[in-house]
Amino acid sequence: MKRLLDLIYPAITLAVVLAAWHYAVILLDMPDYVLPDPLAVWRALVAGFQDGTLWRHIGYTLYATLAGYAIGSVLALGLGALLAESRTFEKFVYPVLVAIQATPKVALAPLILVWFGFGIASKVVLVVLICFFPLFVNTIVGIRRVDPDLIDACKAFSASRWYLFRHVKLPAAAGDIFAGLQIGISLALIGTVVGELVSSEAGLGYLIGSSAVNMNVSTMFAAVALLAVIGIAGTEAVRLLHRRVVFWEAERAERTRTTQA
Amino acid sequence: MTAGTSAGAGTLQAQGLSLVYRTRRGAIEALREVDLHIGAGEFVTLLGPSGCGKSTLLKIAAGLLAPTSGEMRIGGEPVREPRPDIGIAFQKPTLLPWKTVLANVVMPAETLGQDMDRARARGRELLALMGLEAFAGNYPNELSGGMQQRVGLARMLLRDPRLLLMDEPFSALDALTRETLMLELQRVWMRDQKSVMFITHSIAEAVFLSDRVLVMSARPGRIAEDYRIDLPRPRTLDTMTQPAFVQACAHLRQHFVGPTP
Repeated sequence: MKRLLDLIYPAITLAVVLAAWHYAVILLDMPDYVLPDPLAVWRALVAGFQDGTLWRHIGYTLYATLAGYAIGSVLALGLGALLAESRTFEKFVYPVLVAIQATPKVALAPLILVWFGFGIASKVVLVVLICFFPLFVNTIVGIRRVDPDLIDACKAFSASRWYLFRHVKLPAAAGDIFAGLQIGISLALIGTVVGELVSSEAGLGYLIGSSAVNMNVSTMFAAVALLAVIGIAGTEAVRLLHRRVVFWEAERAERTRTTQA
Repeated sequence: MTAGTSAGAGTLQAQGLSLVYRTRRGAIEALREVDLHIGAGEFVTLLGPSGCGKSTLLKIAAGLLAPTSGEMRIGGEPVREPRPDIGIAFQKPTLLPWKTVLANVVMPAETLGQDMDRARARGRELLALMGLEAFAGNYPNELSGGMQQRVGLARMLLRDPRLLLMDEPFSALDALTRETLMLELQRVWMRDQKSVMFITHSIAEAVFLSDRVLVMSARPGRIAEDYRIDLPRPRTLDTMTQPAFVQACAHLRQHFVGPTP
């Protein structure tokens, strides 16, 4: 209930900004192709939902984002855990991965489109690449920084290597893993939009690009608003999961949220 | 002693134990030629300043560290890995924050793949012994520091070990909690007649609990004196004001005052 009440304050801010926007457009007599009235954006949204085009774009963007996020996260967790546990694997793979991490993955978007086509596969691949690294690095850091006294205590009670990994290191790293997942979800959406902007057949990024060509700024704003909603829903969902799963670090989960914002 | 038990179950014997740590800035000699013996049912305390290698000695006994030379035997057998017949407690509670109090207490049975129903029944008994039966389902961070340390003691006792290894288990606690736990430890020890290797830098704690106090000198760690405490059992808080107690403390303190040799 208190949380719901807390939402009133930003809602008031939003309402004030929208009202100022509305009256500024009227008073300054802004042309539609520069800054449309918020009501025009609203009408574009309603029309888009009614004729079904927006649903198709939303579905496309959601699918690419979630599929890429899921694949990228599973890979990052698996490889991160493997690397944290195996020195040999680390020697071979880590320097290469660090080199890849330093390159902005967005710069690879055109290349990936050439390789994987203009369909949804290229967006998924881009998202996988872009959301992989934060989680990968966080998984390694999290597992490596487990309290050595905790490890010693469990070892002294004959804990096997698997027991240590499953019951000590993995849960101890959970906070860092979720921080990586939280960064990953916002990056995943960016990856999809970039891919769609470069070249696509559908998606909200594609809608923004094609509306720009037609000077249909209302639709562009509508697509941006939808992306904002998807982004907020995604980070909130991961945050909620974080607090549920890593219940023993409730305070820390709150802190990662503020540093993200 | 019955024929089934190996020569001196619960005894601990170190012979010519040396340990040299190799660091980037050269070798550090932590222990030099340490000989010590703990008889069955005997309470022996290693007393010394920090950095004298007493924790190193305990880690060797726990099977967490291998000596550079010499041998550590428990129950007549050389220690090569953590043994299932010892119990261990540390300065920090070292509980797993994602497991309930009861799950933490039965961890030593879980790692050995023992019957968990039996372990849980035993775990509840031990929690009752520690006055914590009401907290079996709580998580460690819902408990005070003293209560967490008690959970650690219950975990130490779970396998009904013949030998207890205790590394400054009360040093992080406030004075009142410390006295209570000292009395509880004496009670458990007198009831079950376990052998104990206890580490502390508190002279009063050493005198109160021990049959024998081994004074350790710093770097490289060696046994400087083997001092027998002949105060009658059970010792109470009043014992601490008796002349014999004060005298023993004064005698041991000689090792730690005055000009360092």
